[in-house]
Amino acid sequence: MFILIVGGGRIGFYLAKTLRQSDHRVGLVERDGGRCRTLAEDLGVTVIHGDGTDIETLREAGAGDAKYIVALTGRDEENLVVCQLAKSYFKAPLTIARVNNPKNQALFKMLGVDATVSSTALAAQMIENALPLNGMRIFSIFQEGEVEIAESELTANSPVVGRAVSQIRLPEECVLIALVHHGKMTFPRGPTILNSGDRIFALVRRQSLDALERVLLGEGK
Amino acid sequence: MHVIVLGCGGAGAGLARALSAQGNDVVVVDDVIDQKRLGNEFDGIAIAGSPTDEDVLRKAGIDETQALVAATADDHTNVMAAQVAREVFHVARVLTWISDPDREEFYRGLGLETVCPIATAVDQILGTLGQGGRRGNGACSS
Repeated sequence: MFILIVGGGRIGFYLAKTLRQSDHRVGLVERDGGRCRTLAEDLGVTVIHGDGTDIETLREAGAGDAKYIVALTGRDEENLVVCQLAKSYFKAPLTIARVNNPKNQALFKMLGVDATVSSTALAAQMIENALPLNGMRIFSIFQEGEVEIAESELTANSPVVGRAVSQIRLPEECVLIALVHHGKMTFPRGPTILNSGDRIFALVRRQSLDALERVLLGEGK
Repeated sequence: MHVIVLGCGGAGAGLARALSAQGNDVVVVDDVIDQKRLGNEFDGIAIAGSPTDEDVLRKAGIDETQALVAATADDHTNVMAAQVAREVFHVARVLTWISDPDREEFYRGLGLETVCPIATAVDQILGTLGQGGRRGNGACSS
């Protein structure tokens, strides 16, 4: 499968490298001549020196054969143009744009870009994930954002400690998916007993997060 | 008429000045406002901010404007801002300045109302030489 990347900065470089390692054909378009040489030497992929928002440059880089076209320049305006040319001119089946301003994610989708990645939003999300807010850590891994994975550590005061999973009244839109007991990951079933110090992972609809927290950690938390 | 002009470079500032002189309510938006370029005669409003930022455009009155001309020095900015104006704010008349003739043709195909000075000039020169226009869109008579 041929994947064309426009923009050979850090993200472009590591994406090309990763895709190469999984045996995909990769092409890169980069505007800076010196950077092109570095990329070609380090990655062993075809690097086209030029402006990726230029139709001729894209054609030369093989945009017509690309299954995916990924726009990773540092400017949202350029990434939009790359994806629109890719989609409507070169009929690429899938276009992905990096957006620097998270506000542009919704806009780009509206304007026909298939998927967007915001490194700013991702970094903020990851930092938020690392912070145990209200005793639970939330992993927003689904794009739709309605469903989350929540991790919580049971304390001695938790109302569910010493009880079996089957005895717990969980919120309706919630499933317990994993339990870490003394450093060992297990799958919680009905008879599984919960202990203080256990870390429990649940798949839960966002509206039910508070309810889940009350069940696992109690009202006072 | 209320008009928003994006860009305060040669094209944008010149256009803003001319529209203002004709008695229109003009708002100019660009990352950096060049007061000298706008001149003393200009009696519209100038806002410093990104021309593709929805909040900046709101401040420029895009919800009520009758027309918007995207005429910054950067084609990509113009193309994106014009689409924001059309698709998000449903501005009645949106004109997009695109320098690159190939891209201009592409975006005209996608439905943007475009102005391409290079294509227009080429047409005009061909017309003057009696060679006929490069494309028959009325950019000039041949």
